Amino acid sequence: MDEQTFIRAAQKGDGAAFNQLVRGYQHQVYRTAYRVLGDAASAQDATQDAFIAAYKHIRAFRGGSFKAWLLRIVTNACYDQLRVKQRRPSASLDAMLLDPDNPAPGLERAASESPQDFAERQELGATIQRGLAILPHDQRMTLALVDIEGLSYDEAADALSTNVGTVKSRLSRARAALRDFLVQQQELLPARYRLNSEKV
Amino acid sequence: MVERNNSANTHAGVEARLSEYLDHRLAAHEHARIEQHLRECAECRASYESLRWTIALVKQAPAPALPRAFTLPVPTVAQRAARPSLAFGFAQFATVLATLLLLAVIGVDLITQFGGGTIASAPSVAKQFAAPATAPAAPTTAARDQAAEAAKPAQAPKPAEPTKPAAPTAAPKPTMAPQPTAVPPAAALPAPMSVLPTPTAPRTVVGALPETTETKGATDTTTAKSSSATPAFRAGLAITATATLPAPTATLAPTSTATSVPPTATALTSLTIVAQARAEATRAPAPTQVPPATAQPLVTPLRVIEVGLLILVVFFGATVVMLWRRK
Ligand SMILES: [Zn+2]
Repeated sequence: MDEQTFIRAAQKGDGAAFNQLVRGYQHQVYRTAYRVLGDAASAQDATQDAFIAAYKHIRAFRGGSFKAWLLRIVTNACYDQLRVKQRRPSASLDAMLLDPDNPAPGLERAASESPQDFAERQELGATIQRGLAILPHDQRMTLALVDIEGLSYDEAADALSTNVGTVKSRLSRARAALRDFLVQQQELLPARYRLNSEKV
Repeated sequence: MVERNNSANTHAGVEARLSEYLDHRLAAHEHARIEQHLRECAECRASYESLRWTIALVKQAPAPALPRAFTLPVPTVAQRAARPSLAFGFAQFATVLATLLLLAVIGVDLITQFGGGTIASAPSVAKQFAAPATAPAAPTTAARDQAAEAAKPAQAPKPAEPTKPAAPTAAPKPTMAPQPTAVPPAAALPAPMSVLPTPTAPRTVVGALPETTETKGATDTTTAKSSSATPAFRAGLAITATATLPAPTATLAPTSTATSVPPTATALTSLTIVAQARAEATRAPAPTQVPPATAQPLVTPLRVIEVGLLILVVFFGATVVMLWRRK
């Protein structure tokens, strides 16, 4: 069964078919939420809210990229979570400023990766997460969708309910800002990830 | 550089386009110009390299492991699609059925109340609801009952259409003179109402009833009335009504009716019979035949039926709305 079949079945009220779609996209949706929100608890809330909203409104899906449609929902769920976080700034700060010595649990280790490499990659992840945290929400979302989730400009525009031109400019500014941050923080990165350690 | 004036080739212009350049989103000629500039300008080349490095780092950041499955505890297709649609259809049908029955009973009630006040209509109409109880349960039995009842001609001017008195519009008619033409044999109203599970009890009661009325009607009117009222009430509660069966109305009407109706009344509807009975009663009241004491309890079942039907209408209506919303 392909995605379209599941979508049509889900639109007819088949919860099992919808859960097949959930299984196909939950990782990506959660990852996006995690990148944007910076902590596992908020990311879980946003992901769950997103899938519930998707289930409620699946009949409104009129074709096109289901992934983009789903990511638009999770993007909105992330905005909601960010609003909650802004009302509780201390929790937000704690969550955003990950301690590199005590990296967030639940990061995925590649099968071929040595524990040492994985530890270094976790440090990299923590630094990037801090860099993302200083970006404006819109830029952070755009960069997460394009550079981490690999969406095309069109898909990202769809997911962010905006146009391709806006995606281009947000992405350009987000990349430049993150680049400036990472250059500044280079000393905190494991040697192999530094800019002049050549070909990361 | 030669092409400095071209905005695409100033350092700022290049810097602004590096992001798109990296994603190969630029038009071919613009891409070529940036490429050219990057070859010639170390500053912009460094910027380009750092951007590329940034994007590569972002992609290498470890992904968070899925903390749990986000599948929803939603019903499967069998539960959601198949079952509710069945339930929806049933609830819809039950709502319509209960509403029609309620209207019918209210119509009957109005007839009883304003149509002259004779108790004759009460048992006869109630019996009309009772009689069809056989129909949904077993059509063949119903046919047999029908035949059996038809075979008892002495008493019964009964092949009347049972539905007519049920219609609210029929209410004023009993007050009029008993005109056979005034009573159309319309079987319009509760014709399709034969769905709800019918207890077998009313069926046997119905089958037995004409006999009891036959025997008792000759001897004692009061017992005949009371015996007919109870099964009628019971059957009425079972909410079973069809217009298809000829109701033994006349048999159940007080003996005054049965006796006063001429043999030609076989063709008349029960309504006419009822009206006639009323006319008879008002014209020449036979005190021994219609004791007022029995009149009161005979009306009560109708009220109970009305309330019960109203509850059913509300219940099934709410179910329909609920299921419709969930869809
Ligand atoms: Zn330059």
